[in-house]
Amino acid sequence: MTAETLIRVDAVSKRFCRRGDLSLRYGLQDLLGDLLLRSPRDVLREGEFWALRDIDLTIRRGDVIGLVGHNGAGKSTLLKLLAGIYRPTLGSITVHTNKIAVLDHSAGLNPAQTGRESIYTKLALLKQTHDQIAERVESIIAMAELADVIDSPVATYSTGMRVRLAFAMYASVEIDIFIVDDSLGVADIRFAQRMRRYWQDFVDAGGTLLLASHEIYLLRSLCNGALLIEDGRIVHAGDTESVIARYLAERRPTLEDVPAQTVSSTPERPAADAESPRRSPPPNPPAADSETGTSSRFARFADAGDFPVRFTAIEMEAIPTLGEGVAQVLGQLCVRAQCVSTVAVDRVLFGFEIFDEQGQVIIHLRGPDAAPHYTLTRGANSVSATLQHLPLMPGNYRIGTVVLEFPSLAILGIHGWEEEGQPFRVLSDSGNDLLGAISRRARMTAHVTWHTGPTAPPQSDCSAAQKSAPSPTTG
Amino acid sequence: MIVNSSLSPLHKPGLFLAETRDQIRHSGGLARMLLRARLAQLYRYSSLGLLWAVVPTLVITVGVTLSLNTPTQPAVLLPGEVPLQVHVAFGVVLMQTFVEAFNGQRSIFDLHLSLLQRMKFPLEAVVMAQIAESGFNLLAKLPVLLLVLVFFGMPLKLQLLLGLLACLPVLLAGIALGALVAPISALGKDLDRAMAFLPWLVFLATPVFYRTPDVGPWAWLQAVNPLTAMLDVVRYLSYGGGNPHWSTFWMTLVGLALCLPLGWVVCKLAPPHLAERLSS
Repeated sequence: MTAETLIRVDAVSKRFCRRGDLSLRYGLQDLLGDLLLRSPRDVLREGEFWALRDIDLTIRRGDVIGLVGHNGAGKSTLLKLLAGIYRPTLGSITVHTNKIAVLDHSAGLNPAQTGRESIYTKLALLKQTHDQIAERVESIIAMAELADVIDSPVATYSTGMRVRLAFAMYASVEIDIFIVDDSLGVADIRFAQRMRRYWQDFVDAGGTLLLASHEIYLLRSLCNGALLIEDGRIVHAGDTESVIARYLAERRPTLEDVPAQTVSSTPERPAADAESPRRSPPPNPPAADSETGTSSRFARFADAGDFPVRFTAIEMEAIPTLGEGVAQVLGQLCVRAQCVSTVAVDRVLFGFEIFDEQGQVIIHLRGPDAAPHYTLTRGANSVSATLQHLPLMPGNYRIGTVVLEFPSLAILGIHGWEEEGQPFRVLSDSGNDLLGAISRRARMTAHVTWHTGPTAPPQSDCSAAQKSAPSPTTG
Repeated sequence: MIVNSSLSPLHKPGLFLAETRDQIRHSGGLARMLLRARLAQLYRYSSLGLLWAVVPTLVITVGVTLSLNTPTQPAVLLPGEVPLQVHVAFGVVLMQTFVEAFNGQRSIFDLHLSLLQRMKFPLEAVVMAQIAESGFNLLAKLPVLLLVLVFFGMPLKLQLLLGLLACLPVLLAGIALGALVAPISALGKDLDRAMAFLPWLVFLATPVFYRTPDVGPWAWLQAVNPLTAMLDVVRYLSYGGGNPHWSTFWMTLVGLALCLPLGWVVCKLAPPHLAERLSS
């Protein structure tokens, strides 16, 4: 049975004007055109361009669609059209719900109002009564973790605080369609984790999510479909993996790019990170648990505070041996994290991420989320991963690590995101660095051999890695 | 079902009116909340708080009263004659009401720009909240007028209630004009700059600080000036005296009956055009 259609987009085009002076004039012209019942014309006026062109799209209940594309491709424009904020220049959009929330980095809060006033205003706009809002206001404040500043004007909040407040408000009401425009990167890592958990629950409960993001991991973990938008057109629509693969393929540097990057003292960063220079939280595969309803989703966010797992050391061992914290291009690198846990957890995921000097994630190493699985014991634990052929260009890097509860994906411990990760250096092997040249511009998941245990000795980890297939140790 | 089409919503006037009616019906609570938030925002960081709503009018009225209290003023007024101070006090309060209503309404998009760009919201609530704020400003000034009447020994007749009622067209005129120019005001900065001198021109062209002339070319201007007609009607009904241009007053009311809904429609159509052209 086909799911209920929530939004239908028919032959929609949207034009914008880049010139400020003409844009204002066109604004008045278009408004006058509305008053005089003039029909829209399929033409561009001086200074205008098509931000979107001939878009046809159907969004059904339960769809979780990622929008990918470079900056200015038209993702945000499409989302604002779907939310009814913009009107199409041509075509029409039929929406079968009025419960739509838009979350972007500015959060749509009035800077002059206090956080508390904003809660009342925003929820009233979402058709909540005064009594309903009064009932929820304290839990919203608690969820946003803004109790200390809630009576200060929103203008004094950081962008991350605004997003937290807006998100907490939206999470407290019933929403049919959640539109998220690249706002995850502005929240701190703990709150970003909460938002992901909320969306996972939202999706599991049959909610519809439209997500424009440059965070490939997020799109992979949440979306059941994706659209690749280029120059205002949907150039590819389909399953998330195929769309992302095409997007990444089209982002891959050309042969002309490589030498330019090699000689540059400040390497160019991908577009996604120009907007969001903060390090992203670790990746989250889809959660298996499912809760429905606003109140139950709320309950999951009630806890806050220190993580139960504290990483005490990240150590590295490289072959060939070139010195402490030094590895060689295409050489072997064994990374080992020592941690102390205050809890015992039957099933966990470990992850390592290697960042370049700009904080861009270069390599992501993730433990398997299928059986056999790892167990975290109370007290000291150790986990190691070995990269058999380190695919990095010469340079300076840092490494961070995370441990997640499975399948909830709650962060149990994390190191290297909020504070600096463990530094290391990669030296040239004087050979062919082409692999490194490619990987420096890519986000990838390397296949590695994992070992974990309460007191795994360093040498045995790396030795075993050279000899055997993955053999996780349960604690 | 909501259709966001490239066609003007006015192509389906029945739907447009029905939606407007529903929004007005359901936006009362939101409008009240917006008004409360706005008033809190206006007076939060001031030593006098809500008193600021009345202090400017009070200070101007006292200042005008003192400055006009010169030997050129007759010490004893003839029967039916009204002190110039009363005339000026009413003029000042009414013109302030008009200008504040105009400015408030023309600024609704600037005030709610952050919302405008991030969610579709019932504009009716914003307009209603702004109207209520203008009404609040008028109400805050009325005690000053009563004080002036008492201070100058003017008789407080029942007809005074009609005079206060006649303040409404002044308020609505400011709202209607403000609503009509709100999109222009949001899109460009011309009107903001013009507001540095426009109120003064209006004050000059309207008998606020002087009595309405009966003869000469200036009298012709006053005869066709809708503001003059509205001010003089309020004065006439409140304390008697003067000779209002009733025909101009009635025509003004007809004009208002047309301009108010037109301004409402303009404001209702404007948000998507503004959202894509303005940045917060």
